[in-house]
Amino acid sequence: MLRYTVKRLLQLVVALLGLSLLLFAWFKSLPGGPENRMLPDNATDQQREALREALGLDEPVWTQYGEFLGRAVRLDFGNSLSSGRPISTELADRLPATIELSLWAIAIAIGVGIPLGYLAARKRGTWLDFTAVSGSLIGICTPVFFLAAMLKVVFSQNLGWLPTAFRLTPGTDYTDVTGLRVLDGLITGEFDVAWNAAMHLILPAIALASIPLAVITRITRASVLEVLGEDYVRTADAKGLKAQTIRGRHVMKNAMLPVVTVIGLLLGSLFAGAVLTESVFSFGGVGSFVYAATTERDYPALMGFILVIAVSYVALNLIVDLSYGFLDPRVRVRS
Amino acid sequence: MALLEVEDLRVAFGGSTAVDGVDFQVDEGQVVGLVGESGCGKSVTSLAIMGLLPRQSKVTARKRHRGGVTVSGRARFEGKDLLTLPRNEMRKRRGQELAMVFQDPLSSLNPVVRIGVQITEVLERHRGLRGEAARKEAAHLLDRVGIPDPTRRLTEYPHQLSGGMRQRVLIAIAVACAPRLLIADEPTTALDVTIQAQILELLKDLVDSEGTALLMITHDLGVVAGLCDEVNVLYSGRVVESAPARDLFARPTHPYTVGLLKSIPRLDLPIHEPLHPIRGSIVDVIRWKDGCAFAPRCDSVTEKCVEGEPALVGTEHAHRCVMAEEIA
Amino acid sequence: MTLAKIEKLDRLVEAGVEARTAEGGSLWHQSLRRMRRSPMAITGAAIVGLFLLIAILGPWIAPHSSTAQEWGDEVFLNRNIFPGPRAENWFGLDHLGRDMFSRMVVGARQTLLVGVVATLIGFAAGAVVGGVAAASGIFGGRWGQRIESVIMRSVDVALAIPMLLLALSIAAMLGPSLTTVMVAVGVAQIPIFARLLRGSMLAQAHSDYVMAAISLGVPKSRIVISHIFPNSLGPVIVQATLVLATAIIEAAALSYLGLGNPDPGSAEWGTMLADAQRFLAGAPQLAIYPAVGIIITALGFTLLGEAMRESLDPRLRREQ
Repeated sequence: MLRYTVKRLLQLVVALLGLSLLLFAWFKSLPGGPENRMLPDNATDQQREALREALGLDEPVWTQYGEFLGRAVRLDFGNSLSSGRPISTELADRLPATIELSLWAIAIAIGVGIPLGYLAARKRGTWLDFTAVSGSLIGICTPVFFLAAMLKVVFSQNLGWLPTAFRLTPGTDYTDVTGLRVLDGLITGEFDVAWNAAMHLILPAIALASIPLAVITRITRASVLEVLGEDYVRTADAKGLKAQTIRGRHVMKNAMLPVVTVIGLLLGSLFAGAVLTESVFSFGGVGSFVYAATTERDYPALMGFILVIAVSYVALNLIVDLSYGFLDPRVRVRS
Repeated sequence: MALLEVEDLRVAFGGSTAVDGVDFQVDEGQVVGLVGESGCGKSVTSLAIMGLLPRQSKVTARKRHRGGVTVSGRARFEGKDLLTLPRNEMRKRRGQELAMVFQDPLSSLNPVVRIGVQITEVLERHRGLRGEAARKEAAHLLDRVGIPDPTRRLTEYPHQLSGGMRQRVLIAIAVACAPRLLIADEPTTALDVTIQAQILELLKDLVDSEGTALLMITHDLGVVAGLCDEVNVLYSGRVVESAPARDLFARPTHPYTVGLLKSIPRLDLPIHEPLHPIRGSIVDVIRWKDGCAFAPRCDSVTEKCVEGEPALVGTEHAHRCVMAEEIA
Repeated sequence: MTLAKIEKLDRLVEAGVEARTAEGGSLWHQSLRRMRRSPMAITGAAIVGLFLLIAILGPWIAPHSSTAQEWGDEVFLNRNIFPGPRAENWFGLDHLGRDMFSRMVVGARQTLLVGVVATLIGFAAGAVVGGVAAASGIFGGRWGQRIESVIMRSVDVALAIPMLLLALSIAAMLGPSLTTVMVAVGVAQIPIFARLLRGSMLAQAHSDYVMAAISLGVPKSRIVISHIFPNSLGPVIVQATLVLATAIIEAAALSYLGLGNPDPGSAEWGTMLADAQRFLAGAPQLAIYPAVGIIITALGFTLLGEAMRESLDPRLRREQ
């Protein structure tokens, strides 16, 4: 297990180095370089030179990469070209919103998807199974931003049941602890804030959960079906074990293996979905920041964001892989 | 009274009949063989007795006969019909009074659960043993089935064991609660020849020492000869011959049994003596109610064979062949 | 990168090899027969067929122009007046007074084009990367294996970047246009295709008929080009069908983020859907038509791809 962990960690470092190299190369290959974006169109060559020197662009490429890497490790991605503020500050301000939204979404997806997939498998061929399967296929094929927008139109604008935008009703006082509003409200005892934040989270979280939910339901169903046909489940039945022991220890423990891995993979699409969902609900997470960075070609900001997301994605997948090794003893031996 | 009495057992998947009226019995402490080629319904018979058919059967899951399994007849165990027992009652008996050893030891053990847990969960369920007591008993069981260093093995996973050891584990699980009846479904088919003999020896020892009855399901007449007191030969879902083992080998009566015995390669015959395989395959059948299902493959077939349902004739050594006298 | 993604790709590869080696071409025919009985495959094929038909015939079927603002004077943006379905305009009018039905019909072609081009970019570049890696790994000796290792590690790194992020950064670089969307979505698919093709080719390289060709003295380059490569395409084609669905959805997302076609005149479902977001409160139908079009089309390709995968998968096949 230790060797497995060390090996995965090494792979992670290599992957991140490769990624930083890729990003750096991309950054360097941008048309005209970043200095053009930072100077007015009528800048003189001298101004241009001065800026290049200030940015260290006249140094050899490898020195530049080394500096870039060194700063990136210290989470220093430079200043945003649009706002002029440090990118790490911008990200730190906005990440909690995205994390909170993603957590809710993945919780919904797991909480609904796994039981639903299990039921669909057990009731294979019934209307429930059919609904779950076709529903998940449609879910996978529905653009997230469209679903988000429709939910907003129906439940916020037409029915008026839920707020249309933001994380809290504007003007609400709250105490910031973790940046996750619902959690903060519960910690500080400001239950009205927690409730308020939760109401604001429901629609975006549902929209964001749609694809993970669809995928988890499908995988769980397929996986449970496969496991139900396995000999060891028959053995468990032949032992006369209680139904819940068979379901938990013999069916679900095996059926969860592919599901866990898929959850790791879904995190990528979750980040992407968050960008889209947040912009529909003006949620104020990194989504809108990235949206702005993309349209305004704020390359340093974009690069910082991609690095942060890639690191967390790779790290989360490491956790998933490790838990996989923990769940399946055969993996430990194989690696 | 017999320990297990199977009477007119029928199992159908959707429209196709797998078991077509099987009768046999197993007495207290007896070793009974159920012999036949693949597809004759011997495994389905055992699963039906164990009550494992409707949901979990691989056959059903794969072929998508959803709930299309119909089981009828009787399987009286100590006087109670297992087929009509409520599910919970059946669960209590499985693993405790009736236990089963399966064919493929690797796939029959849960790959992600430690060996120890897979044994102790039976002890916990049926004997109420928990914690250290359960672990001790599990180690004792492993020791009894001949696994060296049992305490270490308890913490291992199935993939860390060899094929023979896995089958020993499955046997340990099956005998954990000292069942009255043990069903072994081709327990040696997936193993190396050298291991096969050891496993059979182990089964025989366990059964003898505990007075457990054993229902041995196999296609291997060699296994039957070495182990069984009584033998039932199955063809196309029905018993065609039933006799004490010695008697069956001495005087096989049904042409199918004769064919099975003849098709075994023998070293004590002249080298140029050709083998006598049975013609065709088990798919060439007539339905039993129209005549003898074996008729299309039988060398001694006459018109009499397809004039209605052949009956099981005889008591001690019974057979289901209308031509028996003429052939003999 | 992650085990599951890789394992899933590998299983698809396995499926392709088994289909090929077991009984030559006949297993492919078997898969086809099985697909003809599968409702999933039939539904998928029907949807895809209909979509292709509309995409090809679009401009001739469309009753009106897709660009001319023929009924511009009947639409009042500020009062949220968008005439709905009527005899002349089956799907009503869009925000510029154009016939929605004609725009949908004509737009199918552009949408298909975006999906197909994006997939082709991913497919072609992925095939080059994966093919070079596999070929040098198989026949390139020790240096070839090093080259293969370097290429495949880079592919694994690229697999770790969430797809939309990759697409976003590419789109940011190229500026907004339909080409950007196609390139961005396509490039993001390269690593998947590369991995799949390389795995598939390696599996073929170990098969008996390649051994036979080598022992007969067929030149290495010929073995790779005319034996290994064509026989490895099965799983890749299945994946391409699935990617096509993703590409159409991703393209819509990029359009929504403002990276798509800046010209509002052209009819393309993703762009139409993105444009319609502005009028969602008053005229949700403007978004619903293209969205439903995208969902159904993506569904069609997904069903078809999944059905193909299932019919090829040896583990699923045994069940039948």
